[in-house]
Amino acid sequence: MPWDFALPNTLASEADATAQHTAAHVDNSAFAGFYERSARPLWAYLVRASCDATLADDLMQESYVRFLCAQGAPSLADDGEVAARLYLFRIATNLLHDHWRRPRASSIEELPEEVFSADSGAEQIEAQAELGPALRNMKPRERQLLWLAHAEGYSHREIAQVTGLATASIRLLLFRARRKLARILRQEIQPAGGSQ
Amino acid sequence: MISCPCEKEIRELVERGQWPQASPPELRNHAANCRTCADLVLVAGAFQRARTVTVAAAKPPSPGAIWWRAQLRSRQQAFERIQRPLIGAQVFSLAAVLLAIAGFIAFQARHGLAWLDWAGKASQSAALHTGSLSSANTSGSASGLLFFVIVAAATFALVAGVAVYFATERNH
Repeated sequence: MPWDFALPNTLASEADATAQHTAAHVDNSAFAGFYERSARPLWAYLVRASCDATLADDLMQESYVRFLCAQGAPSLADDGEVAARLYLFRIATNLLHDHWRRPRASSIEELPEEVFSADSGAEQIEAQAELGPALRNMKPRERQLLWLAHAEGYSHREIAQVTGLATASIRLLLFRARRKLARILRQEIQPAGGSQ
Repeated sequence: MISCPCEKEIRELVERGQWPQASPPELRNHAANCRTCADLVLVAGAFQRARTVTVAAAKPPSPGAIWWRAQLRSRQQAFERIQRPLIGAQVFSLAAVLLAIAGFIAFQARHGLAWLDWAGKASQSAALHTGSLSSANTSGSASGLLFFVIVAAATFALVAGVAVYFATERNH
């Protein structure tokens, strides 16, 4: 029996009140400022970790929606932007993991990195050529850790908060990932240097 | 794992974009000979350049669109939360009705299925076109009882459903 037809106004008003309550940890103007400062770095993290620009677009929007709807999210006014940003990156990381766990026809590792498709300038191509092929040889977890550490400049403790791993593990995983990537980058550089 | 005491200093310089210009010569010499620091300079430098380019390439939608989507999602979630006790009440009322029907059938079975007897008599009388006063009386009392039981069950289900709704609503 559809009871909501009998009580439509009551339910709608209660839903409105609850919806306002759930997004109470951030107001519209504060969110706009936070979004302007964090959206691009978040997208960059997602696109470099996933090697998929379309997926990064979707996950970025979903991350912000979940951030706004989450009842336990840090308040921009009380907890500060750093805490809110870490929480946002954690949501994005969990969404990435959920995406990778989902069964699919082709593995995420096999996807080409079509990040800068249409309007790629010379500098973009150069950066993609430098890091893109090397990152494709890394595991998703390694890409995440390296990006958070060396692109976002997060400490081991902050990376642990974002990824849900232990701080002690971060140090070791990061060291191994950095060594592996450095080896790949040197291998890429050496043939290019040798041919000149 | 080999950690180097110069790692932190080199990392800060690379992140600030001041490597190698602002670094002292001895630190540069160290980075050239230390594998950990050389890896750090190579990888952190590549990531810094990649970040600059990737951040510039990002085209995020307007914050208003995200805010609007979040409001819609919150409203939908709130609506689902509010509807949850209603669904519980509906399930309870359905269970109550089924219980009442089962009770009614059990009661009738214990008392010789009088209504079946009445139904047989009624069909017989309809077939023979004979109006007997006794069968009409039986029919009247049996249908009255059935009607009473159904109304009682429906009322009970409705009241129980509303009571459960208000009880769970108060908890939320």
